[in-house]
Amino acid sequence: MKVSVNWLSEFLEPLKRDKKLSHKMTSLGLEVSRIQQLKSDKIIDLDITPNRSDCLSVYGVARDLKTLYKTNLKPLKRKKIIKKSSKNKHIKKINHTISPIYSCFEIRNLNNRVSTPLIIKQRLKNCGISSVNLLVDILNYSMIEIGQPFHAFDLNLLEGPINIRFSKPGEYIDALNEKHYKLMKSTPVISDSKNIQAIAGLIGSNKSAITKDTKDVLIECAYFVPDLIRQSSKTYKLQTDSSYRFERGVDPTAHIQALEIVLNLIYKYSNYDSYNFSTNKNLKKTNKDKSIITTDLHSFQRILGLHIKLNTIKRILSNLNFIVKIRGNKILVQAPCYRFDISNEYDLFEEVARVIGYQNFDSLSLPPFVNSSGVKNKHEDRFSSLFVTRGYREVINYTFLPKFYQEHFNKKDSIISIDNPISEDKCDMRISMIPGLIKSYKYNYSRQNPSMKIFENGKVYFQNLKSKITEKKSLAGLISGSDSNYALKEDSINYNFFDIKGDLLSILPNIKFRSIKSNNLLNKRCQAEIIYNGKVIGYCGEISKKFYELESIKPTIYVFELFTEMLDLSKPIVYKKISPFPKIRRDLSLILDKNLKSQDIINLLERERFKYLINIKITDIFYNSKEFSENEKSVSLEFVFQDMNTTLKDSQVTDQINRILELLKKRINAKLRDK
Amino acid sequence: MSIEITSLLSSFKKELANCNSNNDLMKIKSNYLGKKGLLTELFSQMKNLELDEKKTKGALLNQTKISIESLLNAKSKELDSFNSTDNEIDISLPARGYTIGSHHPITITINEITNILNKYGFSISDGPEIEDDYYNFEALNIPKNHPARDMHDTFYINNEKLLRTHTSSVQIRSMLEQSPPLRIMTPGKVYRCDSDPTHSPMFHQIEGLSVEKNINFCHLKGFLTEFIKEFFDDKKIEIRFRPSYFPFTEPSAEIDIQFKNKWLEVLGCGMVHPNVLRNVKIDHKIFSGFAFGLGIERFAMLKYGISDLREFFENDLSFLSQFESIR
Repeated sequence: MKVSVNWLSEFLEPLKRDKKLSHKMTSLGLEVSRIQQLKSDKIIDLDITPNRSDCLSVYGVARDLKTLYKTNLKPLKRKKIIKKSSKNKHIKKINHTISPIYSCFEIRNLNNRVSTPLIIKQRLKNCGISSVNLLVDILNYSMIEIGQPFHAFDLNLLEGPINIRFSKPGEYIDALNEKHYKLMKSTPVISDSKNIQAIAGLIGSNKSAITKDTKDVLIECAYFVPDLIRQSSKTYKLQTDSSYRFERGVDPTAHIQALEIVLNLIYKYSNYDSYNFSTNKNLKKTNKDKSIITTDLHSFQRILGLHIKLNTIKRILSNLNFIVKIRGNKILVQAPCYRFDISNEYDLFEEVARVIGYQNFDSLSLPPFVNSSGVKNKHEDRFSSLFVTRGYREVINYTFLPKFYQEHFNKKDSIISIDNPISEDKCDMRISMIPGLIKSYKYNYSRQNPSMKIFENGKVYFQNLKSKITEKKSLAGLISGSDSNYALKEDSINYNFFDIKGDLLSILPNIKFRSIKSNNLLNKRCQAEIIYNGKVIGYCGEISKKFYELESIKPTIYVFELFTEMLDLSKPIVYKKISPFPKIRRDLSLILDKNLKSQDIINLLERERFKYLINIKITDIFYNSKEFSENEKSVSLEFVFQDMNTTLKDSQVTDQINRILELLKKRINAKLRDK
Repeated sequence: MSIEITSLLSSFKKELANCNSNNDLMKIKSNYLGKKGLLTELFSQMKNLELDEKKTKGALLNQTKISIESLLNAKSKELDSFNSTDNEIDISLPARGYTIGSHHPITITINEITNILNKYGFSISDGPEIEDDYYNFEALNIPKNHPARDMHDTFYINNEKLLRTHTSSVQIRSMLEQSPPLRIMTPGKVYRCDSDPTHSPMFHQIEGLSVEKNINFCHLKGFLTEFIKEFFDDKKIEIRFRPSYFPFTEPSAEIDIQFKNKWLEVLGCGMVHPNVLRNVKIDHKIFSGFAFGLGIERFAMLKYGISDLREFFENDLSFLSQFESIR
């Protein structure tokens, strides 16, 4: 809302010379966002909060500011309307659920060819409103001054009397903004016997528009129910100066006053033959009689923390045109009917607080507080830090993905889509964080950064067949390129699956990996489930071919995704006494079937629980040798033996090694490689 | 002969103390223990002695030999560690296998804020990002068709579900779960249908909520002043409280700070609205409290001097690598 200081000063004289005006406005809650210095005026741009519809006019702002100055408001310039009739022949029927008050003002033989006086033109321009013709300009000017929107019909272009009603299917309007609107059912409209002449409170039809040649006019000055106007504005995606005011609430008692301002300006700048005024009211539906709010001094002090006197409260509220009565301990307050935002005692606390000025409140320390629930120790924060120490950089991606993107990897019905997306590439909620990480990779790859380790900590979203929405915490990472942290060339190595495996094991030592083929995000030749305590908590591997194709990337990329809520880290640590006796190491080199998984050998041996055996490790693996066929490979294993109570004898260990060898021969057809 | 042995040991010790190189050490060693060495000489004289004397002197000689050997060993080790310049390592070469990761500045900022708030007794609460209209709006005193909904351009999933426009929705869930007194904070992602250099469709917020007995507007003012000073690590920072409007607080305030000679809005706050307390069945005549909310990106931008909001979500490694440090 832009207001001219000159215009404001017409109602509140001392403003003009007040150098601290903008500061005062802000401290009162009328936030100044910009000041524009003109030759002989100053335009202040105010950010009026949605609750303060009473300040959407010059007069309203002056009325609020008055409380800071010890003067009364100067009266509005009006020309008194002498009431002519109680019934208007131009109105047929009014639906009062749309418009509890509907006043009409009929002017005959108006001279609308007179050009608009400069001061009106200038002031409208400063508010961003362009000049149309005298009557339209006067109506706009009056709206800015008092906050009441008007609409005018050319009486000679109306077909019979008007109705205020809800629209029926199939109706339409060609509006003043040159747009054609097909009307939905139940839009509040003003119609004559043939056409829709206005969407109530929003916009008029160009069929009955006021032109320079208009002679006879019908000026509408109404109170429309705010919710209905807001619905129209949303439905037709249109906001006008009038709808903006109607949906926030227009003073239901101001319409005669408002028309008298209009009449005064017409009288002053043009001429007409006669006028006729009528009003149609059903006041139950308005805000007119504000209820009485009961409060007391203690409540003011309890919320504001200020030692405040009863008289101060009374003075402040009275200055804001509230009616205040003291009854014993109680304070009874009635707000003026233009204050739609006042409905309970907290509203009064705020009124008093803003007039006192927040800068005048004390600053108190918070009393100490012992939190019974404590701080939740979040795994994901700890894991994040661990990944950072493993050389990963944290990224944050949008949780949105392009339309259809995820259908390559997920079932269509599991994807949650946004009804009103902001753009094509931000339509669906991510089911996995992998696509986002690949996007970050691509961004950096195209900027000469081919090597990276990145991770993200966030949520993924999906729904089941019954449309039940689930959000899951996820921690995902990506590696590609070479380990640039080995600064010397000779040391640098290309990342592969085992780097990711190593990073994961460094952070979660107790996880296991199980080879799978079912994950569409991952490459069939390299994918694994991550298992913790027997539960699948995530997956890792190379990205699927589809990604390389979709994103046209060539370098190999490895990823993982962990669902951290599934990790139960509350398992207590169990201490076992350590043995003081020496460990004995033995190695075995075996020739095995090439397709046998290393983990399967270890699992097999661990299940058998060999005596004294405390550790098994794979120390070497190689293929393609003259010593064995190409369907075979050589695997070297290291075994560690130890006993709790004695130093093991060589024969005891040999005994176990022989049993191990026998088992491996029998179960997996292992052959001992000749030394 | 025993005098000879003792003086031999002491002269050996003197020589050893003056020895500074491996070469000299070798000389000393052969001088004493070599084939023609002084100690070897004394051993060879043993055969001329009486049996009794042989026993005592022999023991003494052996003991001396052992101490000379161990002293020589120790000296040799000492010389190795101090003096050997032969294989000096160029420690200025790049390190091997070190890794540098970094937290995202948003995470760093959230952690800094939650650490401060935690000192004041606030603990973290969490809630869904895909939220019911009820928790995001209705329960917070923002009914359907309320003009305040214009302050939030909302992404909808369907008629009931939306992407939360603020973390205030978690306040309602927390107040339904816990009974007062409580102090909670809720960091997280929020969404608004808005995109330009100063707005992102997804951004991060943190909200704080206190519901207690005897908490008033002066506490809110004092506490948030402290908080801002602590976050920006500036005791003299200029702070302004001014009236504002949020449907879920009353009185409401906005906090501005002086930044480059301009007032800059950084935080919204207010006393919890009685309708909000009523919606979660808390008696507003007994309990009162305050709520505040701030944008993490805004705080991070101010603290680190980042000018374009979009940089946070581009994830350029050159941007991210500037936030390496121990946190």
